[in-house]
Parts: sequence; C-alpha cells; structure tokens
Amino acid sequence: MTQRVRVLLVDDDEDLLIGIRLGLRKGAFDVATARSADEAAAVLRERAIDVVVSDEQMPEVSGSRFLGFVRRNFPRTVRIALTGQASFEAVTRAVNEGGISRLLIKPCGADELARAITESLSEREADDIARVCTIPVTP
Amino acid sequence: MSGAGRVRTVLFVDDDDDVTRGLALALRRERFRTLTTSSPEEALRIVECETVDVIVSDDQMPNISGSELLARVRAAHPDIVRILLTGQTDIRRAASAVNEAGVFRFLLKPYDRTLLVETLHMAFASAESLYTRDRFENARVFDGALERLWLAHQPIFGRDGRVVGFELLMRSSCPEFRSPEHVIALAKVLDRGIELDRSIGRRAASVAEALRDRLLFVNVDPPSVWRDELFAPLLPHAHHVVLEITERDARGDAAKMATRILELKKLGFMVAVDDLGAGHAGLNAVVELMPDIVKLDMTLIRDVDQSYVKRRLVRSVCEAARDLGIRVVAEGVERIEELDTTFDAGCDYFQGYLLGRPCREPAYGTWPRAAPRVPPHLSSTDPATDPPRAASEAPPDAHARAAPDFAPSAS
Repeated sequence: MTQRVRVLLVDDDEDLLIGIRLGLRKGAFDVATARSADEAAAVLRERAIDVVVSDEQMPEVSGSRFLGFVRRNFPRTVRIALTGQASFEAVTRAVNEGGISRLLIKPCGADELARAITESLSEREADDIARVCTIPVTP
Repeated sequence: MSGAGRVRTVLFVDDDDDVTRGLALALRRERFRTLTTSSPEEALRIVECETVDVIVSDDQMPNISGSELLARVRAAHPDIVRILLTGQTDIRRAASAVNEAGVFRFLLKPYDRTLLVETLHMAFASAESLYTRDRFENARVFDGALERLWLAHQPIFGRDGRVVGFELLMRSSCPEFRSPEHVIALAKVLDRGIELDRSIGRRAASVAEALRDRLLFVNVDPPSVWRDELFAPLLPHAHHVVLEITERDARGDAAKMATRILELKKLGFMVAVDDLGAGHAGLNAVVELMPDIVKLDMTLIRDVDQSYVKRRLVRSVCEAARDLGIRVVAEGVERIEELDTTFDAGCDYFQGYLLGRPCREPAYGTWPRAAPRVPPHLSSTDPATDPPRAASEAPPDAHARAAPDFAPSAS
C-alpha cells in the first residue's frame, strides 16, 4: 500500500507515547497520540484512523472498554491492545468486546508493534472482501 | 444431503468427555449441527473432512493446547471462526490465543448456556460475512477448489447392516474451501458450472470404477440436470449410480424436469429425490419424477423416536414407497434411537454420523444395532449388543459389523 497507515496510540504514559511514536516514524506510519479514551474518541471522530493501539491501564475509562467503543462505532478500525499486567477479566473484555487482532505485552518495542500493525491490516484485508457472491443461508 | 438449507456446524473439542457431552446436550434444541471430539488430532481431521463453521476448543488439553489447535485450524482454514474455552487466567497464554490463533471470543469456564448460544450465533454471523468475496478473489478460490477437488465417501447401510453404497460429497483440499454449497455458488457466480460438473463427473467415475459392487449416490445441483458434463463420464457405470435430485427451484418447469429425468433413467441411472420432507422437496417431486429412491430429510429423522407425528409420517412414507417400489433412505441418523425407530418404521437404507462420517477413503463404518431382536432371556450374549455409543465417540471402523436382524418391521 502506498498510503501511510494512520495509527492512533492511546496511553496515559507520555514517555511511552513519545518512544513508540519515534520508533514508528521510521516506518510507513502516520501516528497520532491520545492520553485518554476521551481524547482518543475525539481524534476518531475528527479523522480516519486505520489502527488503534490502546494501553489497558488508564484512569477513568480502561483500554478494553475503549476498544469496545471503537469496535461498536468504528468497526473498520483495527484494534490492538497493549498491556502491562492487566487482569484476565480485562483481557477477556478486550477480546470479546473489543474484538482485538493483537494483544501485546509490555515492554513492547516499536518493531514488534509495527509488525503487529501491518499483519493485522493484511488480515483485515483478507477478511474485508467486496460483496458479489452471497450464499443462500436459511436460518 | 444437499445444501439449500445449509445447516451450520460447530465443532467442540475438549479432552473431558463430560464437558463435550454436556455441551452437545445443551445445544440439542438449537438449529445447528454440533460435532464433538475429545482429541485435538481428531479435530484436525474433522475440519479436513467436514464443513465446520465454528470451532470451540478447551485450552488445557494434554498433547496440543487449545490455542495451538486453533492456530493450526486457522492456518489450514482461516474461515473457520475460533473460540477458546478457558479456565486459565494467564496473560501470556491469552496473548498467544489472540496473536497466533486469532480467537474470536474467549468463553470462560464454567460456561453459561445462554452466553454460549449467543456467542455461537455471533460466530456464525461472522463466518457468513466471510462468504462474500469479489470476483477476482472468487475466481482464484474457485480455481483452487477445482484443482484440489476430491470426493468424500459417506457409507449408506442396508437393513442387514452391510454397506450398500456411499454418498459422494464434494470436498477440496484448497485452504479456502468451506462447503460444497460455497463452491457451487462460486460456479454460478462465475458461470463455470460446466467445469465443476465435468470435474465431479470424472472423479465420481473413477470411484465407481473402483467400487463396482456398491451404489454411488451423486448429488446433482438443479442447473447440472440440464447439462451433460456430469453424466457423460458416469455413463459406463450408470447401473450403480444414483443421481440425487433436489427440487430446490420450485418455479422450474416440472414437466420439462420430469422428461429430462426420464431420459437419464433410460440411460440406466437410478434417481433419488433428496431431502424429502424439507421445505423444497415435497411429495409432488415423487409424483413427477417417479424416483427409485427417496431420501428422508434429516429434519424428519432428528428425534424421530420422540415424536409420534414424525414416526407416523416416516412409517407412512415407507408404506407408500413399498407399494410404489421405491426404496427409502433415512438420512442424518445420529442416535441409536433414531436408527432403531427408522428401522422399525420400515426404512430400507440408513445414513448418518452414527454409522459413518464422510471420509476420504471408503470406510465401512459401524452398524451399531443389536443383533436379532429377540427377548433378552432368549438371546445369547453378543458383543454387538453393547450399549450404543454417542456418534461422536464412534470412530468409523474399517469393517461393518454385519448383524443380521430378523425383527419384523412395525406393523
């Protein structure tokens, strides 16, 4: 793909945002950042985002809840969860409600994240196929 | 069976038999097909031979973990939606389930029936959205499916417990293969039905060549009836080939269809009306086509032992068929009670998971019916009278247990 991948990073840890942002710059990524779910939601409403990467532990709205919001409102946006020591409950929520394509465990380098993003996007492409042929399915 | 009303299938994998049995029981009333196995290796075999839409696997199993199994299923059949049943709370394991196996959902143990059913429905919906592809992709998938097409054999038993023949079911080793209906639909969209007919005809002919003493049931999709490509290679074997016709298109010209079927019968083929009792195959199909065989739809067979009405209908069809010289196949037999009931109702042939699943090589399944039905105090002990086992546990044996049965059909 020639177009740069538009990524939104959500984490309340500013240092981490800066680090990953620098790491991803080298690749074909266009990176936006947000420090909370609210801020991230505002970004999503404002512009098109291909991939959201969200940390789990954030004050107020947790990452998994936010990813659920993204899935419901921006289903075409690929969702990746980033976690330090999240509870299993949170992970389950990220999977079942957020429909995440990757679960990355901190510390997670920019390379690993870049790979997760590109792989997720090509998986989405494979799933996300134009509609010509509809198979009759009786309930 | 043919596929207008494709039954969606979920496969459960858990090394604890009680869990799979409980799940199967909990889902008995649902409108999808439930397969179960306690072995991940068997699960991998099943997804090769069967159309599976959704797989639910336990995570903690002795040889292969659930995550690993689902990752392998994903590699071979990315279209099968994967669900992990887990009691684990380890984040790293969860990460590998997401990243390698691409799980659709985690189901936490102990599972909740309502949540399970809800999750399965969402999984089926997700599986269906994958059906739709663009034309280029369609052509690629169709080419792949055609190139690696093969026919699975599902045994059909006679009343004497012997395998009288096999239904040949379309399969393909190409990774995108989902179901015969999918390939047929692709053929329609791409207008390449002739190629598909030819390919199936040739493969069926080579099966017929190898199995000269068995009946071979070949599904004929309505459009294929009008073309010659499927039938031409089969002509030398017509005397033991049964063409399974489904009258799916009720608006079709019935008289023309009857004429065409008559032509095929004159060439020596036998004809079966498939899915009798399902929405699209009504009794008029029997009137118009005068088939040699009718196959009772599996919805009529399901729990036939528990429904007086179903039992009565099956028996009536059998009685009428006997007068008309038509043989009756009970299809979709999954439980021993269904076999016993349809046997007593007078069905001639039996087919279903209880007796044998579709397999790459002709396997002669298992005939689980007890030996002669005489009162217990008169019968000698016979290993064949072991309590019946659930379909999922019964691996297709290489040899049929030919148990003669002298029971009179119910009068």
